[in-house]
Amino acid sequence: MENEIIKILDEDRLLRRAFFKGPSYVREDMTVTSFAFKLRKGEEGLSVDLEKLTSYEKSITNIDKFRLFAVTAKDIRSIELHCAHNPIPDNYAHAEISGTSFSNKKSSQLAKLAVYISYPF
Amino acid sequence: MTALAGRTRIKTEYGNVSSTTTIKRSGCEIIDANTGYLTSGSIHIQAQSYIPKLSGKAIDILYKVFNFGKLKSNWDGNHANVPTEDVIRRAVSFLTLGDESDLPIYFTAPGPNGEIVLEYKNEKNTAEVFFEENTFSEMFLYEDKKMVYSGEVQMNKLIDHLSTD
Repeated sequence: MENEIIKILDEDRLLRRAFFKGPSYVREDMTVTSFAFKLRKGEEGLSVDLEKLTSYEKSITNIDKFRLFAVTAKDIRSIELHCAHNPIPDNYAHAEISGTSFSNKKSSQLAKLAVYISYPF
Repeated sequence: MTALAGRTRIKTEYGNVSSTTTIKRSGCEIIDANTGYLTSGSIHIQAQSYIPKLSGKAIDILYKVFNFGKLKSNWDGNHANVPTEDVIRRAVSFLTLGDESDLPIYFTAPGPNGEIVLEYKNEKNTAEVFFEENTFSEMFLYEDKKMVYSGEVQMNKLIDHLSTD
């Protein structure tokens, strides 16, 4: 079953980890800065987890270092980016956000659309 | 030429103390690297570098920006770069200039590729100003969550956007 690639629906949410300490990508009001959604040089897609295939505990990996933010597939598509399920070893929930125009502008828009996941608190 | 009344302070940007070279040509006596002293007839001009007094929040952000330069390579465990001195210098210069215009600085962070962002916020609007290598910089302006501008950094546009009027 875990070899199956599933279709991501508009209402599905994708989880992205953001640095919470030293330095932090999370502002005092628990919104997130663009850099949490920025591609590194050489990267073609942004790694995320499909919420319905994982748990917050597994997705956050380190509660001292990260906080989780969610974006819906609909929001991602609304700014002309794509998302696709892309399982990797040890993480069936892994997916990628990509697009030919994945610029700073898109990263900034994704950050604005992202919603804080209140976990672990 | 109108005579200057009493002691007159002339404010310039840092590095624009129009320079010791010019003053030397005028035959003045150089007091130190940052200060020129010109005597010509009854006119007395003293030029010195101007160090603006920053707001408390700007000092806090300034401290953070300088500390980005002390990060170790791969600080995120995923090959992140450390901001270069040039990127830090440009961010600090902009932060200082913005603070003189009372821009409400709010947040800063280093990017995974050695970038720095300065973020501003008032009651209704936000702004993100990015500094990257190769002198690249750009800004995004938002009204709530709606992006209303993306493009090159324009200080006047930024001031208008964050004005409380």
